[in-house]
Amino acid sequence: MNKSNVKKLTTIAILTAVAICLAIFEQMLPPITAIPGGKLGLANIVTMIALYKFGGGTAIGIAVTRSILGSLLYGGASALPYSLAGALLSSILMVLFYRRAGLSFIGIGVIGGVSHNIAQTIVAAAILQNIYVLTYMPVLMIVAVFAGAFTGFAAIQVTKRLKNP
Amino acid sequence: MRRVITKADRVLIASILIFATVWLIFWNFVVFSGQSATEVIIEVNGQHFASYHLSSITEPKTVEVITEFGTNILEITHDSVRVIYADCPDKLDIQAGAITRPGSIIVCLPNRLVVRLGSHRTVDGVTF
Repeated sequence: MNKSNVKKLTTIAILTAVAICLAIFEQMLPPITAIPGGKLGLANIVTMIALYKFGGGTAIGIAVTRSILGSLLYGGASALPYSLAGALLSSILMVLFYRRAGLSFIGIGVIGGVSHNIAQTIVAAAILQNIYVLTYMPVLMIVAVFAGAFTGFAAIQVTKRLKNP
Repeated sequence: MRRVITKADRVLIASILIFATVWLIFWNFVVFSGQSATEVIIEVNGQHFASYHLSSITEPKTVEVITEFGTNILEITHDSVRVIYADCPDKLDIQAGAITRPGSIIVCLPNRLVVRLGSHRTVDGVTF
């Protein structure tokens, strides 16, 4: 393994740790809404930084690893299906739309936040076998638009300060 | 400050906000238009647990929902329902407070609990 690979691996490991810390920090904040899933999604910032610095595969990898480790560390195993579905769908869509359709990270953050909540709500409706859970969807989408725009703005602020490569 | 938000960002944000708002308006003012809540329906893991007609509630009634998934205690009044105890970690269902409008729900994900308010017409149409 050469020096640049070691550096890359270390950076990815640190980014994953930062994502988990952000998610734990977020749990300490008072919830934005009393609706499950209505949160800032600060870990999305890390997904966008990884996307910018290493590309789509790494971004999805970090999001999925963070979701699994995070659920085991603080969410409990019962939170894993919601978290994993949200992380997978949102990171895949963020990768697909990155640098396309004229979207900045603000748009990418919005796509990430909204799709995360859509995936979680559908999984919740499936697990609870209750279609009425979808009643929460429009409210969660509105929360996610603002939260996603905020995380996108934060990602822009971080990435423009990063030294390349 | 340099403008960072692009035109595509604005279109995306506006589209999602409009979509969600139309959904909310449709649900609250079309589906449940002009109706008041008449029934509390309690479901756990997709199964009917209990339901109560609000007209039969004269003073606040406490209902314990104890299942294999966990324990929640509800308080039902003549026009509302709220969760007053939950053994789940986040207690979001307690923070949700009382719901009064037909079509509103309270969810406790870890305990697989859905509490919703129905109006009689809708319940008739869907259930029977």
